[in-house]
Amino acid sequence: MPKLFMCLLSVVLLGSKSCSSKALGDFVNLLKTSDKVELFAVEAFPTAAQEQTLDATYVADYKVSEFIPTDPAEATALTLAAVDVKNFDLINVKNCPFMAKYALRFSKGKDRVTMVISPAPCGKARMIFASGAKERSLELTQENNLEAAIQKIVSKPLIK
Amino acid sequence: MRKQCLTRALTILAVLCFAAHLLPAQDLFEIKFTDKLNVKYKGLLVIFNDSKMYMRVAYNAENMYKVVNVDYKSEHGKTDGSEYLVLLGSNPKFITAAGQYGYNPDHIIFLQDMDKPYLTDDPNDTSKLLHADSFKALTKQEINDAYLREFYSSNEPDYLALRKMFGIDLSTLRLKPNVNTNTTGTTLHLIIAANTSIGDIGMSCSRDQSSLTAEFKGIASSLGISYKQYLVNGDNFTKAAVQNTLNGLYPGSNDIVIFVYRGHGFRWNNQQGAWPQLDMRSSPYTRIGENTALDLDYVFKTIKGKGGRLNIVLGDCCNSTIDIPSPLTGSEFLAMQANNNYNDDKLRALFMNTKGNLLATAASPGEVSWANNANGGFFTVSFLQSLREEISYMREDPADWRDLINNTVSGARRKSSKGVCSNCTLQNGIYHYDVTPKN
Repeated sequence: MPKLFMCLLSVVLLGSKSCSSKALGDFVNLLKTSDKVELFAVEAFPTAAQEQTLDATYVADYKVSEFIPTDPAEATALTLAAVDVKNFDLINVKNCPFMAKYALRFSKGKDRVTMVISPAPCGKARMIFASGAKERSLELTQENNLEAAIQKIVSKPLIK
Repeated sequence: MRKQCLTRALTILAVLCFAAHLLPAQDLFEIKFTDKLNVKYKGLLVIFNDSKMYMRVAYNAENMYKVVNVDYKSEHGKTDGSEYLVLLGSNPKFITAAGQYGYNPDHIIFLQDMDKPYLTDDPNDTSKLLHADSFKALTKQEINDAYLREFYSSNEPDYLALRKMFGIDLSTLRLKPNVNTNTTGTTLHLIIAANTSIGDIGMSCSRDQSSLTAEFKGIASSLGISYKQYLVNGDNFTKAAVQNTLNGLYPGSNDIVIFVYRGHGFRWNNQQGAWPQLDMRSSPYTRIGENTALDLDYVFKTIKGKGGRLNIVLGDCCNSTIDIPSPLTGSEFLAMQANNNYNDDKLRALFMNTKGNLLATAASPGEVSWANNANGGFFTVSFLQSLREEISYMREDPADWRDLINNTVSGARRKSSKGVCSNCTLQNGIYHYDVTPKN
C-alpha cells in the first residue's frame, strides 16, 4: 500500500475509531472495573454439570488443573490484554477446534465473566458469563498480548 | 452506541464481502461518480477474482463520448483499527477512438462504514477525493445489449462473452439438456458436512452450505442431470451421520459425487499422513476422540470405492496439530450467490467428459485455514470462484479440473496472505489429482 494512500485513508477514516474499544461487547466494562482477576490452568474440554465431581474445581465447566497466583501488576496486565481490541480478530476465524488451556476469571461483586483461552496455533477465546446464558467466541490474533501475558506469568521462576 | 457499533461491524462485513477476501468471480458492478468539474462517469467493474479485474469507465467530455479500460488489483488492510479495501487502478486504455487525451486511473476506496466507495485519481491530493454517487451489483435483468454497448465495441471478445453469459446472444440459446451429450441417468450427488451450529465458525459454515447447494443445483440443472443432496449439519453433525450418509450412497457408474466438509479440522500429535481429521462435534462439551474424528482420506477412499465416474472430495478445515495422540492404533487414515451464467460447453467438459478422483484440503500439515462469517471459508469461496471462472464465457482456455484446483489453492493462499488479511497466517492447500478425460 503506497504511503500516500495511508494518508488519504486517515482522512476518510476520521470518526470511525469511536467504536473500536466497544467492539468486543458489553462484558468489557466488567473486565475493566473488575476487583478480582484469577488465572487457572484448565482441561481442554468442559465437563457437563451432571458429570462434575465434588473433589474437583471447575471454572465455567472447565476442570481446573492448577490455580496460578498473580500479583496486582500481573492482574492489571491480564485485564489490559483482555480488553484490548487489537488482540482479537473481529472478522476472520480459524477452522480449528477450541482446545482450552487457561481460564481467566474476572469478578466484580457477584458478577463474573470467565475468559477461556485456547492458545496458538488455534488461538481463540470463549467469553462465558456467570449466568451461563451468554457466551461469545473471539478469535485471538497471532501475536496477541493476552497469551504473552499468561505465558509470562506461568513461566516465571517459583521462589521456594 | 452499541447498536451503532454493531451496525458498523456488520457494514464492515458487508463491504468486505465484496471486498478483499472474497470477491465473487465474474460478477459485474456499476459505480457512478461525478468529478469536481461536474463530469459524470459510469463505471462497469468486471471481477474475475480478487486479483484480476477491470473497469470500463464511460463519460462525456468535450462533447465526445469516451470509454476507458482501467485494470485493477485489490489491497486490503487495517489502519487505526478500521478495515479498508482499495482497488488500485492502472494501465488506462481508451476504447473509443476520439479524444484520447489521457486518463488518470481512479483508485476506489471501500471503507467499513460506507455503502458507497470513495474515489481518487491523485493520492497526493485529498481535495480530489470523491464520494461515489452510487455503487451496486448488477443483476441479470439490468444487463441488456444496449447497456453493454455503453462500454464495449461490438467486436470485443468480452462483449461477445458477456452477451452469451447473460443470454442476450440468441444464437447460443439451446434446449436443455443438450441432446448431443449422453446425460441420461447421470446424477450429481452433493454431500455437505457443515458444522453450522458451532459458536465460532457456524455462521461461515452456513453461508458456505448455501453457496455450495445453490451452485451445484444450478450446475446440475444446466447440465440436465439429476441432483441429489445430502446435508449433515446442525445437531445432526456427527461422525455417525456422515458414515450413514456414505453407507447409503450408491452412485451409478456415470454419476458425479461431490463431498464438501466445512468445519473444524486438526491432526493428531503423532499423525503421519497429510490429510486432516474432520472434527465432527457440534458442542464444545463433546471430547475429541475416535467417535468424533473422521479422517478426510477415509472419506475419499470410501467415496472412491463407490464407483462413481467423477469423485471430488474437499476439506475446508484446519490441518494444525492438537496435543492429543491418535486413538486409532497402527492405522493412519487420514455473499456470494449462484448466478448460473454458465458456459454449457465448459460445464459439460468439466463434469460430463471427465472421470477420476480429486481430493483437496484447505491447509498443509501444521497450518490453520481461515473463514469469516460474512463470506465463508476462504478455501470454499476460492473453489466456487475458481469453478465459476473455469466455466465462464469470458475464459478462453478449456475447462480443466487441475486449473480449477490450482486456482482454488492459490486463491485461498492469496486471501490468507498479509496483504489481504493482516491477522491471518498463510494457508497452503494440498491436493491429490487423478482426473482424466472420459473415453
